[in-house]
Amino acid sequence: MSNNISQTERLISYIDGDMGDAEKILLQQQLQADKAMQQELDNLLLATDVVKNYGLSNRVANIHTKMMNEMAATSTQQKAIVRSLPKLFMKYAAVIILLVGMFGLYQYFAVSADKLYSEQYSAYTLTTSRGNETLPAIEQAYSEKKYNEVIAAFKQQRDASVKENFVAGQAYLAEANYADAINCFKTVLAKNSSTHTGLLSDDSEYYLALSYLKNNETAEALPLFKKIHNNKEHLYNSKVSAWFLRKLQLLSWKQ
Amino acid sequence: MSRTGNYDDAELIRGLKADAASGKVIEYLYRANFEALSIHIQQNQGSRQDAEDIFQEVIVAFIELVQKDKFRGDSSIKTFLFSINKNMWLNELKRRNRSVVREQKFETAKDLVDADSNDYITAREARQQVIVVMDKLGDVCKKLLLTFYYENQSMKEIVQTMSYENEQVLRNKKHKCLKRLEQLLTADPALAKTLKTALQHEQ
Repeated sequence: MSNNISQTERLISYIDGDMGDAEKILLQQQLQADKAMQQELDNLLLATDVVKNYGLSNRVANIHTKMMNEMAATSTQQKAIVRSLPKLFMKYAAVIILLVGMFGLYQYFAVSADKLYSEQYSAYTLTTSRGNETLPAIEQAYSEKKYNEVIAAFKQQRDASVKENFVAGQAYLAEANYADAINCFKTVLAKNSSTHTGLLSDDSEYYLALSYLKNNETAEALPLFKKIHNNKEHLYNSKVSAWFLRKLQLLSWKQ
Repeated sequence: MSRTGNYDDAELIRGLKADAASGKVIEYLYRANFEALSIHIQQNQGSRQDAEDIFQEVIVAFIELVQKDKFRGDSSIKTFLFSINKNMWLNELKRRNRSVVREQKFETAKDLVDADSNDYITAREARQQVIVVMDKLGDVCKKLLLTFYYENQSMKEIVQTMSYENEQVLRNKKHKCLKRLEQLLTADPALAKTLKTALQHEQ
């Protein structure tokens, strides 16, 4: 037994590196000759490997727990950020879409020919280049806002001029007779077209478009207003905005 | 030598060979490799928990390999870890006796980058047996052997922290503890053989 203990102690000292060189060489020679001794050494070495493996496994297990918690926290944070960004974006997008939708709906239901006409219409003021000369009766009556007199005088004309047609058109508009106003402005444009002149053409186009609008003929009014909007040289271009055209479009869908 | 983020492979190997292995290096191995290796397992019938368990074993096996100078460095650490991970997962699937088709599929896909990574596929089973046998030793012996053989503390250091009269008494106690462990192992030849294969990489 004491020999065995002594042998075990020697083997452990050998494993632990506590042996001197001479003793180590002697032991190695004995190991080559003694299989049982070699077997005990192998078993003791296995025992030290078990201890090292146990220690390492515990150490890694502790680090493993720490790292898994750290990674889970990072992953949660990243997910939260990744999730919250689209969520926030979607929220704002939804609010904007809702507001735009509500505004669109409001515009759709609120828009009317009367409203648009009121926004755009202003009574035409006649200009004269004749200084203090006396105005023709029809123009004089219009200047004095005697629209019925204008209309009566116009009706008596056999071949009314471009200007007389235009003034009559304005008088009809003022008297809310939109159909006749339309005829007058159309006549102005037709006459100009046939004579290749442009007297009061821009004015007539604008007031014709207004007359169509007020007469609930939006489909006729829309292309005229678009033409005015697209022509930067048109006298009434600044009066026909893109926003007005959008509302007019809404009105045409409504009708 | 390839570089893996903050440490290149040579630095990682040095860190793992140091006494008890550097905690920072082990943490780095986790940060640099866990997610990639986890994906492989989760894409092959494994859960996140499976991936975590296997990775823990992969790291233990890899550190042992490095500390025994058995990592040849024929491939990068990342590739080698992937290889161990793949083989351990295959072994685990076999253990769970899942479908033959899936096993065949994995057999053909087995990574051949580093043949010595295959030596570690039994490490997982062995770990449980190591815990059982160490627990049989008792707390005093366990602590003493761990302090000396794993933490590499000298007798002089241990005698100061543990209540022993002198170094000789401590040395005698350590010898008895190691002999006791050896006896526990030799009392069960099958256990000894399994642990020998798993821990000393003998076939």
